[in-house]
Amino acid sequence: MNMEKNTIYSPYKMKIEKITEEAPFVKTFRLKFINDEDAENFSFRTGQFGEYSIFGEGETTFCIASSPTRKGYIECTFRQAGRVTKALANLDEGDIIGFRGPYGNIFPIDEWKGKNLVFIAGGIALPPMRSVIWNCLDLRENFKDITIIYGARSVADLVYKNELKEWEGRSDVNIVTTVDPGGETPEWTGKIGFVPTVLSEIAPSSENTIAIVCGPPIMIKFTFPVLEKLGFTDENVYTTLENRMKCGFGKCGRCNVGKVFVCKDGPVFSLKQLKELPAEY
Amino acid sequence: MEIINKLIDKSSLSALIERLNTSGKQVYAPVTKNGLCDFAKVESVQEIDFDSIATIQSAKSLVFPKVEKLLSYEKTYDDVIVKEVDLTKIPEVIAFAGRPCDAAGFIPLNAIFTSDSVDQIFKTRLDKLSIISISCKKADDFCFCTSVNGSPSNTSGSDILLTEISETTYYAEIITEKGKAILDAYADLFKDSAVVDKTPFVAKIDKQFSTEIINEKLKTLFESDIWDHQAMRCVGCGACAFVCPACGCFDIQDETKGKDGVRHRCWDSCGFKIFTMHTSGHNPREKQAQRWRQRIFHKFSYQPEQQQEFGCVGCGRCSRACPSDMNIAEHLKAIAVK
Amino acid sequence: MEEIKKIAKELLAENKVQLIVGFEKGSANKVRPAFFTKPEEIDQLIYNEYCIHNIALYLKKDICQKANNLAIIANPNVVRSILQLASENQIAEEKIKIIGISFEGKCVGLLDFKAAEEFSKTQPKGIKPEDKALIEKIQAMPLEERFNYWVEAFSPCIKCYACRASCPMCYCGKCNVETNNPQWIPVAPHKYGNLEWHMMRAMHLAGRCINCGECNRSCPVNIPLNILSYMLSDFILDEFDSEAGMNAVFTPALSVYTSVDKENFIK
Ligand code: SF4
Ligand code: SF4
Ligand code: SF4
Ligand code: SF4
Ligand code: FES
Repeated sequence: MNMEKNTIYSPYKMKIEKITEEAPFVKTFRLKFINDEDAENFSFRTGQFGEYSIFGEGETTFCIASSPTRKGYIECTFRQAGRVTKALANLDEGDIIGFRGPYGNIFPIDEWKGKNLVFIAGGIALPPMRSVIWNCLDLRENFKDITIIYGARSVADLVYKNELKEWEGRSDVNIVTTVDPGGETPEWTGKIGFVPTVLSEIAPSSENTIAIVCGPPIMIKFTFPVLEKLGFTDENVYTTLENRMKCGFGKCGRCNVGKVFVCKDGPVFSLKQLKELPAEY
Repeated sequence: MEIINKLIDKSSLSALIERLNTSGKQVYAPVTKNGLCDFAKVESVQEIDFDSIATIQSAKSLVFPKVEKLLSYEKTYDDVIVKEVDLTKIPEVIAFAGRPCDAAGFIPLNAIFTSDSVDQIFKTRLDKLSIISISCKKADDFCFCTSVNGSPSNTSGSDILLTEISETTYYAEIITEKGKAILDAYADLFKDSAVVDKTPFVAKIDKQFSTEIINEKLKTLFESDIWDHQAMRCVGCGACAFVCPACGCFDIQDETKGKDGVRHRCWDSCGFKIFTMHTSGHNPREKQAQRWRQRIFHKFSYQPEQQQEFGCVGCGRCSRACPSDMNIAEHLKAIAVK
Repeated sequence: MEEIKKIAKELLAENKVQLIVGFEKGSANKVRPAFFTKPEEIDQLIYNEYCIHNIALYLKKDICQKANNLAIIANPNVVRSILQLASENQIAEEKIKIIGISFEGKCVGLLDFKAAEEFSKTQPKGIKPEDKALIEKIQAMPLEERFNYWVEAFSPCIKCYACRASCPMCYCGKCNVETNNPQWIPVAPHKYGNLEWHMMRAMHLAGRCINCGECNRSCPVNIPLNILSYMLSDFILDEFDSEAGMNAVFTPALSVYTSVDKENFIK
């Protein structure tokens, strides 16, 4: 039986099983449920997020960065910024944190069966993408070509370096990594240039293709027009929104964009849905 | 449930309050202290202010207090013990002598806290609350319940509604099962009655606009300059949201002392700049005009569309409390004719 | 009133200012802050005995910050706020025209900072007699009783921050209660969270509060928080011979040292 929670605010207790340093100030935690029953009964789908807490510091919101196909644990990747993330960054393997979730909607990967996928990510926005990328790779036969375009400010800022290598080594993935001009090192063999520019160079076909875009607002802003030029329709472009959150389930009132709550009705939106919302995000 | 019509003598209220108290229920009613009228715990009818038009703060704190525990925790050397809220400890409460708008306010508040997912703390508090309201004999310039589907003798939200029909007598409408439970427990205090037309006994409040018109107008007003114009003098505090019976926004905060700590929630407001501010400093609602727009849209567009309830009951509390005299009814009227 | 309107109208008509901050009729018998940009709008401007609000508050808000120059209908509290803001380098003399009005409601015409200083000195302190009485009552209390008095007085606070939002001197872009790294002041409005917030507020306004009472007027639950600031003002006048809102030049009581400071508080 799932540990029956008295209230929707009660977190699961999770143990930090593994910490990976991804980039300066960016870490990935692999978290395991302390209670076996919780682990068995817990399920989530790609795109969803949670509230991670350090007791005494508070809660903070990030996506679940691992794929639902990998059972028994969840992972999150975060950059140290505010009070809670700074405290999280000071934790060690074996320490205990709280987790509430999963919350929010999902990437509709069932609807993407038989299609080509183009993942376009910038900077620290790869984590939500990593979950859906692994999910699709673990169900590889469901999809046609898979292309990943990932860029960061500098080589040091690229996250998931090992996985990037792993994807590069796979013949069934077409991956392009890029760094902003000036961010390269002498050893850098990837591209140099901003993500939208690289995207227009590679020019993936929009025929039977879904594009998934995650990144800083400025990157997203310049990426959408490129996709449009390539012939992508708004229904076939997906992105995730980020807003300040507290509750995660549409009650605390701060994450809405127009009438939708990013926490409950998002965080995944098609460009079509996004265009129907007021530009207040 | 069909409304049961009864009468109760004014002189019986004192027995009612006392017996409710002795039965272990906590009775909250409007009490005036230092010139301010607000809900407070009462043990006798003498403490109650029946005359005030509306309390400064709404009755919402009975189900959604300004600060409340969501859980507590104890840190040990290598573990954390999380203690959930004991919902069985939540007391039975009577909200007595509030106004119909107080009662109506619980409806949109309930929609926020229980639609989609259920906030058990809120729900338990509301389940354990019985609401005995009194129709309004007087109104002031800030009241506009009739413009937002309410009225000075509106029954919705109340379990029992009392209307003063003579010097000595209240007409009592028993509206819900909870109201009936009170009637059954204190049946000796009530007398039978026919249906009474309440109109002559309550305040007259002119309807200034309708919620439908506001909702319709808002469909095209998001980008209008009316928000800049209206919000010019708004100073961006939390007064309007905190006194509002229908505002449910909150913050979640941890506080630790030594090994022990509490995670609690406290009221928050879309009027504050930091309400939506990202850690990066980016703020989707950077200007006060955007925040004022959110207030109006949330109540008159988003809530009715998502939860089928308007988020305003026309009590006028926000306007009475506003330090810069932002009068919501006046602003809504301007929207209605825009 | 006619004189005020005449000055205001001329300032706008002759393009001497882009904006005038004043009052208009409000709800019921209230008055409310209003902003005028065209001469013909001045017909809406009013000034009466209810115009006690400290509208100097808006000088640090977007609407005034965006204007190149402006005028303000200034009762003595507004004048003192402007002087205090000027002494803190928050407003430049070239930018603002002060239309001075005494506590009796008499218009004294346009004031430059020098004249404003003189005017400020001629006007009584804004503290009401009932406030004075309360101060005396509190001062007579033994220390522990006094502490408990304040704990109780602050406990109804709901942390709506209307007091802060209405105070011309609370202009910080990020208030200390909004910083959480570290968390200086508990966010929750419980007894001690309230006490800490109010102690912090009083300290940040010590020597800067011009005793207008706007914080108390704004407070929906009528907390006498202004009294604490008044008591501090008295103390600072006494100990440091410094009074907020009297001087357009920098005279901070708590951040300078002079050899004549009594330093009684150290003992
Ligand atoms: S409308 Fe009034 S009460 Fe509400 S935030 Fe603005 S100034 Fe404060
Ligand atoms: S918005 Fe104002 S008038 Fe409407 S319910 Fe809230 S406090 Fe009352
Ligand atoms: S009006 Fe603002 S504070 Fe009130 S419930 Fe809506 S979003 Fe929250
Ligand atoms: S205005 Fe009153 S209730 Fe609001 S924060 Fe200030 S003292 Fe507290
Ligand atoms: S995070 Fe609370 S409403 Fe979305």
